[in-house]
Amino acid sequence: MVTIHNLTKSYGRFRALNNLNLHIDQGDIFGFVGPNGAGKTTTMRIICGLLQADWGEVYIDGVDALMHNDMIKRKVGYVPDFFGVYDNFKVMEYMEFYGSMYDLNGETLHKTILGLLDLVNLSDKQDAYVDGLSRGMKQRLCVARALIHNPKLLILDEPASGLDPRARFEMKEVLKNLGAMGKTIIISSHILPELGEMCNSIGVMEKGNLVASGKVEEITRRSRHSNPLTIRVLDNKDTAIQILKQTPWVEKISIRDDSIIIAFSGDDEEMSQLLSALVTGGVKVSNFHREPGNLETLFLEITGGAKDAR
Amino acid sequence: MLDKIKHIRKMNMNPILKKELRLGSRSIRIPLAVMFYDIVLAAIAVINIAVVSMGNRMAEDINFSGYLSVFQVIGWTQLGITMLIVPILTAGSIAGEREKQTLEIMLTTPKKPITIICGKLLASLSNYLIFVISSIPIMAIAFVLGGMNWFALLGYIVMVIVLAVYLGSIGVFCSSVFKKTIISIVMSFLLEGLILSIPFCIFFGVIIVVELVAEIYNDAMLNTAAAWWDPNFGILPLILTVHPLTGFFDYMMRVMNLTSISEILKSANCFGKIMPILANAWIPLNIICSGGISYFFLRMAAKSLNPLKKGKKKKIAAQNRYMQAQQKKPAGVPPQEQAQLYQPQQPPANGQATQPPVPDMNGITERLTQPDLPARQEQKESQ
Repeated sequence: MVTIHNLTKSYGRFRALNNLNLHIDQGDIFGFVGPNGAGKTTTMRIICGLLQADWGEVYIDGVDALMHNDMIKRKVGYVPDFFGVYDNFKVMEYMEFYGSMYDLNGETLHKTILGLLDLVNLSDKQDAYVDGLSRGMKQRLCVARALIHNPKLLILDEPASGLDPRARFEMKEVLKNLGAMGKTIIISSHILPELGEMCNSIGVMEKGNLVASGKVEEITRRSRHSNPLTIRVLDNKDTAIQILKQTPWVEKISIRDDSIIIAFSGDDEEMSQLLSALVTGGVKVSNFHREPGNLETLFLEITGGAKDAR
Repeated sequence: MLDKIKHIRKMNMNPILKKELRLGSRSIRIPLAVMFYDIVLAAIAVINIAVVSMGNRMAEDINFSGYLSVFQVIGWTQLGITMLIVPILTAGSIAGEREKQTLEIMLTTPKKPITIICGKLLASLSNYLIFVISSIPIMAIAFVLGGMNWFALLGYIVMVIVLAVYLGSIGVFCSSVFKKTIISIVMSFLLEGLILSIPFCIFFGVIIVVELVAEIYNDAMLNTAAAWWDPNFGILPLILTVHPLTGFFDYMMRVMNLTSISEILKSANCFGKIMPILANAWIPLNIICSGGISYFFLRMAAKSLNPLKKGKKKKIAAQNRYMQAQQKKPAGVPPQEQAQLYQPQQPPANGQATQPPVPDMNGITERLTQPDLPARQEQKESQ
């Protein structure tokens, strides 16, 4: 659906994008992760045709986006991170205005708008003034606005920023529904757990480069190996520590109350070996588990690792 | 049939104009401004009539043509106010959208920048039109006493609208070039003043310099100076035709039965042999020139609004061809396959360029574990 090849953009001397390469499949919900200034918004704005790239190629649905900008605009819906609404405009009129910008009108447009407002849970706000909506509602309205021409690709820049947990949840539901409809969606965020719930693939950006990309499950599964193993014992703590010290894959041991927390580099097979060694050693193990993969730690490790290499 | 026409009209109406009209109709600002404007105009008209009547009372015979000056006074006042309010109305149009952070969304729609610009200009001018139309009854006071007709008024409105389009396109141009509304308004006033005064400055400046030089050096150079006035050269009419105000001046003078600019120039034999047509079609030519300059400013505004420049596209294409050619040589794979190869990307700056390209996930884990390994081993040893 989206293929980016060698995309480069500089602001003066600062290189925001440095030969970025990226591929997003049809129907993916792709999460763009990265610290501020990594180039997420720049990439999105180039895809939408709001920014001129220095060089590179962007293909959306097989169309060269940098050369045939006008064709792209009917394929892409964009929700910027900061956007304004017109005072004195009702929700329905707001949607009608943007519909008319895509040469839509009449009964079809009206039906489309009602469907979209239903999708974003704003059906009861049709006659409310846009200015009086809450931030979360405005954000959802903007999503509906971006969908008015039924684009194949939806781009959301920080859709959850500045929203309270409830609004965030509602936003998430909207995006899940859209994903179920088969739309390709690109979401940027710096809140990782949220992206983990919404997206099925993510890309980590750092200093204008894509440092990692892939399916969420894969990434979380891999990152599990760096998470600590928590063992809770009822007695014989010293024996347990003795056994742990002899185990080759245990790298670091720390004790917190009843629990022993260890850094473990082995895989699942070696984990079970460790457990049986403890049990046969006479240790009463009441809890033995590893924290599930966490995108946040992964993110810190990837970006931190990239920094070290520099 | 009627429905069909209605439908077509609905389709063709500029969506931005429609939006602005809708929003504008809900704001109290324009009605208030129009009210204030009409009160001022009416006050001027009443004072004017009072002065003329007073003069008639003193005189032996009643001078009816004096009442005609109402038309003239209101006409000139309206011209001055036009030059004041049109830049204010238009200079905020694009800059305001930018400040409201709605311009960006507008630019992601398939509507072309020129459509956005024209919609904005038309919306501002329709607001301005309310001012002009509301002033018609006041100007028509002159009709009551005779001596004027509707055509004179109609012509006046056409002239003032041409001027408003001209000033409005300058305002919209400033609005799209400058980011802030305030700066845009100030700059459009500056540009307006500059454009209205520069032709005269150049012209009179050249004459003064040439004549000074001629006076100081020799009489022979006076001939050069005279060349500027030379009928066959005709530079004065040319400069004046391009100037947006001269058409208006000319018209007002004609209406008031004064000698118009074109007639003065004609009697001074300034048109010469090559441009007699100028003298006869002075006002239409002036309108055409104004229209052309307005079009130029609107085009420039659209150009500055468009985030993607045409010349840059070619540059990008050239750069991409160059990059592809460079990559082709060592790899020897067709570009399509190359693009697929690029999906999982190995950051080049990561110091792992020597490693064979690994699929994405393996790459991550390697990078995750590798830098930490030595440190972990040390810890283990210490334990």
